[in-house]
Amino acid sequence: MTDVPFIERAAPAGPIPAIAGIGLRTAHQEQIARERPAAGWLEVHSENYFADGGMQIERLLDVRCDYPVSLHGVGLSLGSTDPLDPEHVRRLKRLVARSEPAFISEHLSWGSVHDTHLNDLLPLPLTEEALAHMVAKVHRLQDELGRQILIENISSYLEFSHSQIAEWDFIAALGEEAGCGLLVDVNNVYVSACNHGFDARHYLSALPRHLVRELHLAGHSRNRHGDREILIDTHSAPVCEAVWDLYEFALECFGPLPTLIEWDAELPSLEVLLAEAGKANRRLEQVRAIAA
Amino acid sequence: MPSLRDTQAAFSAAIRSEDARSIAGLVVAGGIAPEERIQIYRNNHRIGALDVMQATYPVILRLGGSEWFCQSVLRYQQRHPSRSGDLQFFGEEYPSFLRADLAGTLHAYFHDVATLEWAYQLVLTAEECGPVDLGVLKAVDPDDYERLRFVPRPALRLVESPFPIFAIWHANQPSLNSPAERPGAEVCPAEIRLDAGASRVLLIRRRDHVELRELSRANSLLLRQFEAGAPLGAAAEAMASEDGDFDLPSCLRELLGLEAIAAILLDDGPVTVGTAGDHR
Repeated sequence: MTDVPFIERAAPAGPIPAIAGIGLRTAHQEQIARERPAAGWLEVHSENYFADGGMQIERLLDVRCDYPVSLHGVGLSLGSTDPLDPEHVRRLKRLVARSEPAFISEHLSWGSVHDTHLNDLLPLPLTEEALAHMVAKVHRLQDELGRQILIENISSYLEFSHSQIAEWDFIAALGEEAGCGLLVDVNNVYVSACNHGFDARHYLSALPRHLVRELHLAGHSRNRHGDREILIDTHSAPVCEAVWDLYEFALECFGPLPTLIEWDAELPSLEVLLAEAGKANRRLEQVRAIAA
Repeated sequence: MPSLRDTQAAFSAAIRSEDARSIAGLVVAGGIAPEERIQIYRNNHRIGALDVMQATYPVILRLGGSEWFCQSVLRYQQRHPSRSGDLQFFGEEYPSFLRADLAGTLHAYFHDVATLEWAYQLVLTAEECGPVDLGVLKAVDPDDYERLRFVPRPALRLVESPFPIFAIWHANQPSLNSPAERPGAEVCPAEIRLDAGASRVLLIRRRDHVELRELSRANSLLLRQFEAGAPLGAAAEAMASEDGDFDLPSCLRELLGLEAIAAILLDDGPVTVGTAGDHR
């Protein structure tokens, strides 16, 4: 497999500033490439760009000339007791070399066991064993990549009765012990808090500020189960008011941070997506104004 | 306390079956039955597979209809679970699954159509290499022509079938003028007889799309010789034994005109290289 020739980049490969970004979805690729809209930065699902060649990767490298990029993986299954997939890591490393991302992120989750992949972000039992396991795998991945990664909290729909550690303490410990950063998905905190009955603000307050490097915002759906409700992280709707409120609290906790609008399903027009990013930018500006 | 691995194995078993007993006892109910909570993940698992396969095999979806396709994919998922965190590989075994599943039925041709659709995915994502600059042939001594090896582009596949799969594929493409046509809609295409004749389909990636075209028997035979690494002289001999009327210059000219060749080698070394990449 050959290397893609180096492409001179207009956008720096350095940190993303504390502004809003959007996901680079296939449906919007051509429009973004043509119009170069005022999006702060772009995030992609890493696995969607693992191909050896073709239009998808070409378009990413084209827009990379003008936008900082973040690679957000969903398939490495870091919480799995299976070892890291060497082919998956090799493809990720190649994509990193090609795209020079500002961030590389994955999830506090697992998705495979005994070499069978479920291709989902499944919740871990939050035990000492699981923490030690995640720390070791994050270390291993960061050694392979030669750089820090960010770990994102997921939305979950069940908890394990043998969990020993609260999720906020688990992910904080992971960050401290593995030396990774945290990508805090505010919508996921809200969804999990509603589903499991904990205080979302307590969760955010418990996270060490110095570990948090990026924020995600997204929409969710509500499913009824008898007289109860479960929120599902569908990424198919605008950010709701409760999550905007929680986002403002997150900015108080962590300061202004790069913030991604995650809208992956029932995709709106690019203009609607950019308008959502605009809402995040206004809140970021307010926080900067207060701090000034 | 169950180990992490045992917990994950039990959870995986529950998601991949209808039986949540392996994990239900480890799940906090919190006002909702553990089985209902596990069903959310089971649904995600199935919907994820269906989404990927609908995108990979839209013609099979149209031919079989939504209900059949859903059942087929879920059976496929059971028999061929995903082995990668990257779902682009998930549908790789579907053509052979269909061959076994539909053998001896009226729909046995689905295997060949699915083979075409998988080849489309491979061409879409293949390494870019070539096409070769034909000007370098001017530097080759005519006495050396028979030792030349023509290396096909990686972003190219040839799919051959006794069924008219090219016509079937085209008839099942969504029409830009018919927004009412959606994958899964049971649209009746123009009638295509399955005994209409064999199909040799070349899939080749262009700048912004994958082109499908039918190749003549002679061109497809020559391309197969090149894929096998045969030098031009050996390829011509093999072709002549298959078809006494084989016109090598004409076939070669057509394949070069289609920009199907990435590189031209003289024995094991390059006469020239394509615009990037490895050569066989």
